[in-house]
Amino acid sequence: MDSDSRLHILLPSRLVLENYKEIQNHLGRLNPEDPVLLDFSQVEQMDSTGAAMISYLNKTYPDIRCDGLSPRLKHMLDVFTGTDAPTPDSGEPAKTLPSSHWGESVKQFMVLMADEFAHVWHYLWRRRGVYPGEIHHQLFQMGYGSYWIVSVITFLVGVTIALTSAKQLNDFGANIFLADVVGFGMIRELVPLMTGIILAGKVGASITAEIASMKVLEEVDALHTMGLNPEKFLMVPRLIAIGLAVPLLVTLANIVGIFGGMLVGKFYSGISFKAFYQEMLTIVELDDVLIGLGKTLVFGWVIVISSGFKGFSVSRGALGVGIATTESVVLSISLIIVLDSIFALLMY
Amino acid sequence: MREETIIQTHGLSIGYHGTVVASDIDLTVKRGRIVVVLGKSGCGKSTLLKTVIGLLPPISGTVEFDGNPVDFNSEQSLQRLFRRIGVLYQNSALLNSLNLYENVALPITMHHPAISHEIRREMVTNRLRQVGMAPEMERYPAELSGGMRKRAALARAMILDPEVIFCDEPSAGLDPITASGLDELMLNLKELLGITFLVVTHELRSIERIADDVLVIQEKSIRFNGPFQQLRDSSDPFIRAFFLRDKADAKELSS
Repeated sequence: MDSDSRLHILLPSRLVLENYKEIQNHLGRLNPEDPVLLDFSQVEQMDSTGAAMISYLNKTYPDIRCDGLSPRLKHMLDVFTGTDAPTPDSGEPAKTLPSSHWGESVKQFMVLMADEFAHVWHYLWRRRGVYPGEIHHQLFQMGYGSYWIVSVITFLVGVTIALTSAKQLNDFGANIFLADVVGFGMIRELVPLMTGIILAGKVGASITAEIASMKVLEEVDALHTMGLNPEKFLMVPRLIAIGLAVPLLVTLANIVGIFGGMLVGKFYSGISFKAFYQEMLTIVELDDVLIGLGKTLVFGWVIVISSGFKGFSVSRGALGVGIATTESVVLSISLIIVLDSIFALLMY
Repeated sequence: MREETIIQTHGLSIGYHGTVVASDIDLTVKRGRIVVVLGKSGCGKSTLLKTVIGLLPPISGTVEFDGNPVDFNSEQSLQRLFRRIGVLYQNSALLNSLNLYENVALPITMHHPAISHEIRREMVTNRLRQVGMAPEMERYPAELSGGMRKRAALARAMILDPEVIFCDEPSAGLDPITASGLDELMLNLKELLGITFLVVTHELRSIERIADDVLVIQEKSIRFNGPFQQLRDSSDPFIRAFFLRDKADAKELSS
């Protein structure tokens, strides 16, 4: 204690990061109740760490006094720990995503869906508002880009569903009915559902990410000020392309999925390919194929509209793009499942 | 050159979702001049630009283009405005899926499909030549530097001979030499083609080089509106501080 009955702390010559531990050990033993005198007379060098420690002491210890502060050190302390720079107005206030208000969100989704049907109709009628060649480009991206994953997944689903059913059917000596289970199940239910889910993950995510990035980079604004309607310019080619890609993908998925079931039938249940095919035709009709196709078409359009909706409603830069992409996949898959349940209730 | 008014706003309040960013903005833009809107970051410059180009409805007040009020609820009215303006965005906003030629040709392709391929190519090449980008027309935006993208975006903004080109922070992210080249380009286009420019920026060097008239926004309202020469001679402490980059003065004025 000095004459002023304060605890006298002589600070070292280098109040810097390298000496942090030493200084911390020294200062850490202080009792916040004690009056303290910090002696800067030996201090020659100070960095932001040293300044932060002094600033911390000043805030934590109610009765602290600094002594021996040279004008240079005082200026450094002011610079390092000085007053806050004025916070600029953000200009554009942080916008909440429309999805934060369910009612408003649903309304916007329905409006977008209605607009898109009108845009597609208008395009088919007038052939304007879509960039030349864009439909082919999108068709290639969606169809060619997805056929292998759709094939692999539906083949595996076909194999799995056949293996699961074959065991039960073999136990009852009803091996041949495997063809009915696989054929009907794949064509009416599993191919539409799996194709929809794969498209939601692959095509939907890509649409949202692309549109959301365009929005963030002002490309959507640029389309507006060029007198173009972005919702038409960007969405119509995708809606038409998915309408063309889905029948191709579904046909492929049906063939590959049933072939998976046939392989199981042949090697697990001893059903020949011909017998499998003939039995399947006794239960599967053209209507079933068309219903499966129709369901997948609806799923495809729902995916594109959901993805576009999430892409156009993005805000908050790169973070927003990521959030919108995730939300679009979740929304698309949820809607597919809900719609599939509604179809099931209506049809069975 | 006709000294007539091309853009006029009356008592304009601008903002997002009812939150006022700036109010009582009376802006007058004369044909064939370069008007610079300046102010501190976040003062509402870009919001004003978005409003005047029809992307953001005003909270109150009116925008007139060539004497006709812009109806923000009417698609036709907005389309009439869009046909007569070009916009150079801060991020260039070129479509990444198209090459430079296709980007610049986009307004022709979409609005005037009857124009033959040869004429379209000629129009695009001429515009790209004017901005010094003709040799790069087959390249994609991702393959170009920021300055090159800005030049190409300017070519796209000019392709259908707009009467006014709006530029949002044209020098942002550019080195001084490229930024100076872009300023020179705007001056040339103004002189040669009589294009009117409304430029949002806070680059002092750029302002000194190109501005005919200046609008200064501070604390949600207009601080100065008049010719650049008058601004330079202004004794207003905020404007002095802005030009001299005097932090002490600016701090005092902000408090």
